[in-house]
Amino acid sequence: MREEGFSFEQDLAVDDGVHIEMPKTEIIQNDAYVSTYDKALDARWKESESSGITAPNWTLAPISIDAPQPEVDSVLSSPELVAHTEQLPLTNEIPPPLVGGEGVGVVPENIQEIEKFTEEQVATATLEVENFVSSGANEVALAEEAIALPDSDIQEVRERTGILGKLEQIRNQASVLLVKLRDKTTEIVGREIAALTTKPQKKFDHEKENEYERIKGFIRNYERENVAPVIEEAKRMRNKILEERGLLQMSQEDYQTYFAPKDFEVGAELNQGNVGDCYAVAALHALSCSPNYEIICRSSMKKLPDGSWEVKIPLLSENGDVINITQEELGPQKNAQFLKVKEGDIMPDLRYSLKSLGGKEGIRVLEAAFIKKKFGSVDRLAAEGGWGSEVLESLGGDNFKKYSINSNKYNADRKTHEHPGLVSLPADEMAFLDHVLENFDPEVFIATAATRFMDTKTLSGQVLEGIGVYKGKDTMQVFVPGHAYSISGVDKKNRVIKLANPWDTTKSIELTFDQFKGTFGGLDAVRIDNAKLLSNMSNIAKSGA
Amino acid sequence: MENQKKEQLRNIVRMYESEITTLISQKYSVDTKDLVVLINDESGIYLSKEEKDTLCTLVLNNENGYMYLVSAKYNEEENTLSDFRSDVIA
Repeated sequence: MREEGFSFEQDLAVDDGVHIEMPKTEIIQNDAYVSTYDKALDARWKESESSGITAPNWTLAPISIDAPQPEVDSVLSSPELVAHTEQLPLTNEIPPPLVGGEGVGVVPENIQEIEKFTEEQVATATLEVENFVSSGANEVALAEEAIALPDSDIQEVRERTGILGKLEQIRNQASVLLVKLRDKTTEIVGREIAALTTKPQKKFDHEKENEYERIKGFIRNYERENVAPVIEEAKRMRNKILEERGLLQMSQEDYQTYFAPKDFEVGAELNQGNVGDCYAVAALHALSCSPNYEIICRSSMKKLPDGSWEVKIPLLSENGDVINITQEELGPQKNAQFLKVKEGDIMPDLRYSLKSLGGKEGIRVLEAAFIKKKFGSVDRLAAEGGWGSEVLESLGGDNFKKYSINSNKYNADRKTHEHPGLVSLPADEMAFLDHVLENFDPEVFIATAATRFMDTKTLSGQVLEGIGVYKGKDTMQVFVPGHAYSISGVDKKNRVIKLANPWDTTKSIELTFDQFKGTFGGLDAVRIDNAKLLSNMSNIAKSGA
Repeated sequence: MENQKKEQLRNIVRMYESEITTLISQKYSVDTKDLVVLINDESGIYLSKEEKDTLCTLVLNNENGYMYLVSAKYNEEENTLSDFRSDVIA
């Protein structure tokens, strides 16, 4: 009985799960060099007919050869080969066809075993053929010596009988066949290994289930039932709800003046200035790319008549601290470390003053408020160095849920920190990262990413000496090591991440998921919890009433 | 007059509240008990200006924080809703 939808002419199912594609024209049944292997398999198929499996209907490829059949057969019919084929269990459970096809159900150990076994047999056969040819030539030489004829006569006999030529022909033809056999095996094994490395092995039921979930997610994300204008209208109504509940303390006009980016796709136009708080600038830029940016700012910030600002941190939270930021605090500060050399540095600090980030006033207020909340004053020097998630969590409080993945690790043996990049994450963390990226929704997520630290081992070959940057993985774009970037969006269809460098957020950087994983070392994201947000705001309204 | 119209919309959404929450529950695999139709918010229920004869209602999921839009064709004469559609909006 042949399984529905399964063709033996295309597929040779060898054992439990091993699934090797062998085009029929390439199979040489009953030939000297492969006959034993084929026969043994054929016999196994025939034996199993009773269990519902039919022998493969291979087409024979005609071949002509003067090879010493018995000798080569003896090699290829070695007990090891026969024993091996007999050990291979047969099954009538054909893996269901899946997208991609190749590689499904292949067990890596079996591939390696087949590869190794073929190599061994080919090597043995080659050696035996060589021995046979050498031995034949020796016997001819001994016979010629024994009869002691003149050289000219021996030469004539050789030419007439062509005996040495035949031996050479045997060797050449045997060599060609063995090379073909090895190439075929290498091709099949290579294809299966490639399929395995591009597709993780999963149990069939899980694969089906994941496929279903993936399609469902695709439909959810891309095939929206309501048209875009209706959805946009709904978002405006959501904002109106917040306004109606009296929760937006800043007017629309003020928002446009102090916050609104010119281009929503680009987010706020920022540049970091001369303070090392790239993580904060990246976080603020990522925040500005969120459709919730307006609500967040308008509900938590207010400009007072004297020009100062009130900022409630965490933003949108019922129990936030009110931070006051004056115009003086937004201006440049004298650098207390001017001309001093920091421990571990060679050069003195040449910055006379420390400036806030460049951008609209409102977002500069947010930067200052974060620093003041954390350090008690707007101490820009103290704010140098940190993590994007720290800023987002501090600003968002319990309205934000944190998602953070970091590939940096401490090697206890070497007593060093290593920065291998996101590509080195263990399987479970990588699956989580993929999940976040594949489901990245700017309406819900706000995220930053940190590049890998300068590490001559892990960044070997990528560092551009003298410039202090390194080349991204599989891209000509360069990145600053140990630097935070904002994620302004994800093109899920093309698996492309849009990032911005806090040095100039107007320039978008695009990386594929793989390039991103090879270039960056960490991802810091938060998700906005609308229920908590509305609940908190509702409580604020009640307490204010 | 405006208030009367608004109340009429609220009433029909109340009539279809179960269908609305079930629709979201089935599409997004969430529990209906976590869903709140924002009937009492002035902007929680409205007639779309973008699409003719379409009633929109916003629904909040208290469990996961998502907000959904459910829209439906509104037949004012028969006071019925049909052709429900839903999306996540925030």
